[in-house]
Amino acid sequence: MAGILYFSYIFWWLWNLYPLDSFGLPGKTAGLVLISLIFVMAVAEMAFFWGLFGVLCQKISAARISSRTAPFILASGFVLAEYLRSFFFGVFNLGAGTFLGAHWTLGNIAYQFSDFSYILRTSSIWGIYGISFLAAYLISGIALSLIKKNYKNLLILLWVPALLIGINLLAPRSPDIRQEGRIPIAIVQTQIPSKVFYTADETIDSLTTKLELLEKSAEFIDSSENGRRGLIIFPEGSQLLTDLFKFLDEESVEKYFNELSEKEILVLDQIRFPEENSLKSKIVLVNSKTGIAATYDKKLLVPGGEFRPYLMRALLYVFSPSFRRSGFIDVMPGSDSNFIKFDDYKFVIAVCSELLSPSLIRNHNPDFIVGTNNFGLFNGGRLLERQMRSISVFRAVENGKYLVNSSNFGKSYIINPDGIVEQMASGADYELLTGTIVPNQGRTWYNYLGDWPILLLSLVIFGLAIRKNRNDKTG
Amino acid sequence: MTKQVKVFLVFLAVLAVFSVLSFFDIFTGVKSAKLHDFAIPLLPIEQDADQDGLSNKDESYWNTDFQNPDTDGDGFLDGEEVVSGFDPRVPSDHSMGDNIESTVYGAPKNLADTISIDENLSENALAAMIAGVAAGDLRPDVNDDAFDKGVEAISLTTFDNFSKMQSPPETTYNVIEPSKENQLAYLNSLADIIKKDLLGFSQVLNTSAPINGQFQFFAAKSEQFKIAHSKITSINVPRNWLEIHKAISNAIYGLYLNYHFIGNYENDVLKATIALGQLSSINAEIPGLLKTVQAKILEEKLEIDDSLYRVMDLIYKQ
Repeated sequence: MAGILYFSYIFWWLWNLYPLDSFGLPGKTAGLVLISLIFVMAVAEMAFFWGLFGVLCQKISAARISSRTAPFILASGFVLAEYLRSFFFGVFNLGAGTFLGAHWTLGNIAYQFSDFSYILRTSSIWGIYGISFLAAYLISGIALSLIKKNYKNLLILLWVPALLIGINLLAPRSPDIRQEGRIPIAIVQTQIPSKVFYTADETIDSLTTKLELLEKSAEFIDSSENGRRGLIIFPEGSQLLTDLFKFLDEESVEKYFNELSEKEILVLDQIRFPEENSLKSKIVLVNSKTGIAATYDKKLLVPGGEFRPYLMRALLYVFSPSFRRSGFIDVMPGSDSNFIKFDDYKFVIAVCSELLSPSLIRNHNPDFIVGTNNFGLFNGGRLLERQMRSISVFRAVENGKYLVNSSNFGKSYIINPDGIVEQMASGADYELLTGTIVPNQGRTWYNYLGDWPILLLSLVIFGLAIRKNRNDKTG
Repeated sequence: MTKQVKVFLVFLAVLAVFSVLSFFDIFTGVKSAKLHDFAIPLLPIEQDADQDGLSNKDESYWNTDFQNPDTDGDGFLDGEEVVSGFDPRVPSDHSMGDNIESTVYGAPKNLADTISIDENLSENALAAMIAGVAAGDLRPDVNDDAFDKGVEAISLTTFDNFSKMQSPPETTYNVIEPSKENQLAYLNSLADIIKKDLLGFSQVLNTSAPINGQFQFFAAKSEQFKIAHSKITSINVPRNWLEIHKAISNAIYGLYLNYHFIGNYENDVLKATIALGQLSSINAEIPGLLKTVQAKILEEKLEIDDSLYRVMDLIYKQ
């Protein structure tokens, strides 16, 4: 029953994509086939490692393992299964745009606790896998105690909440939230549906609104008392520069940005850029005074959305002739670092799906994190947007940094290092969100060590359990 | 005998056959006499081959003969006539003053010998090369520089002919009085053409895919601009907007023509290749044209309720 509910949730998630006009697939049947295929593949990928974990549960319940030890083994197994799942999601979806690694943490149980600050704050020590470990430990401990009617063990399990409370009491309450050195930030939220082609009126209306919001952003930064610089963030899918270049040549674009403000502003935009017979999802950082300051090509691309995995492509070629005729072009992953250093600004960029990857964000100890999201494909569905917000909260807390996120077709927000959403857009329409953030050079334990401590602990526990099991059999 | 020697001997044999055939003038339309034209030492495009004061590139722009210092045969050098404000293609005693401004609108008028847009530049260049080979002028093994100059002359002629094709057709515009109402009506019609056609929002070339798979796109674009050109030449133009209108109309014609050339890639590869570069030039001119429109709107103090002009106001007001 739990499986049916969980996987129905995934289907609902995917159903927001239907129909698939934005993929260049106008046919409703072809869209249904594609979504069904993605659903089946997603279920298979997720169920495979949870299936392995289920087998482990069965073995544990059959073996002569004490009900005090068993939850540790199950928690270790669960963490290892989750880690492998996040890695093998990329392997199952291998394609030209694949960037391999344990990045795909979507569906991790820890994200359910983003509103529980006592649990959330501990992710700055052990990340989502630490929380997964504790959750699996508690759930399996309670279940085993109830099954075996060993109610005394329930008391022993109390060390987990005690630990969480202890950490929250002992750990510094909040990072250095000071007033000086604050960076003024303007987040331009857009509402551009993902489509292959846009009409002239759609493009012009969108560009008009984006330019109006850009001007207001510059006014905000001009009037800010915080520093001589500022940051304006456009979301993934905004295509400001692409549209602007239809009206201005390169020199005039530079002049346009230069005259936006007396202060030096860094404008972050995302464009689809053709490069070497492929497309790149490129973040362009324009320094209003000197032109293009840096670029970053998105690494962690969405299978099915930005590139076609080989397996899916093979199946589609058989079942959906219209897909062969569609204008879908694979995006290719970039290879450069997402760490940007712009004078005294040091930050990492996470483009939409990259927020799922804890390892991509904790690179290089940034001062703050800049995220850009695009929910244009989901036809107004709010499910993924809410999930991404929970995930962003974890990324901010894990690293003890401010996280600012600009969204297309979703709410934008500013999250502080405690995981508190300080500011959020009122709706998913075009909107300007302004605020200030504090760059933070301090490091959390998680930012230092990543997932390795909890993975090593899980491996050791799991290894010892296997060894003991073998010894028991041979003995 | 090695394979390389065999290939070399076959090549020599082919050359020999061509030489004999050319001696008897067997190739229709390719005369030996013309071959010498290609062998005339020519200077690079930035230089002045006929020493008339106009560079070879400028000769192409003015549709004058780059190997004839006095194209119209009126006794004045082409360069002298341009500097003095006369048309180097119109024979004149200059007492009447064939002023350029009075005969053309910033672009040279077509000459009687203006080349047809259907002329096949690839075939022409190939024929010239074959003729050059047959005449012995295009022989890389000869130590003089006739080969380089011959190739350069063929290239120059090809570009010259391509440039002649770009001349827009003579058009009679419906010029009306520049009243405020007429200007607003004109700008509304113009906005529609700029949005739907000139800015090309609806159809975008897939620049990441190989170009040879996208000729349908170019053909469709060509058809779109052909219709757009017909639209823009049929609207009523207030007199004070005529210059800007012609510039936009010419740009649209250029887009039609060059998309058409690329769409017909299989018939004329050379023309399609040059057209690709020409398209970039025209596209680069579009922002400037739009800026001119916006400046004129401000100059005329017009207020128009159209999304295009609102966004242009936002962009160009700086």
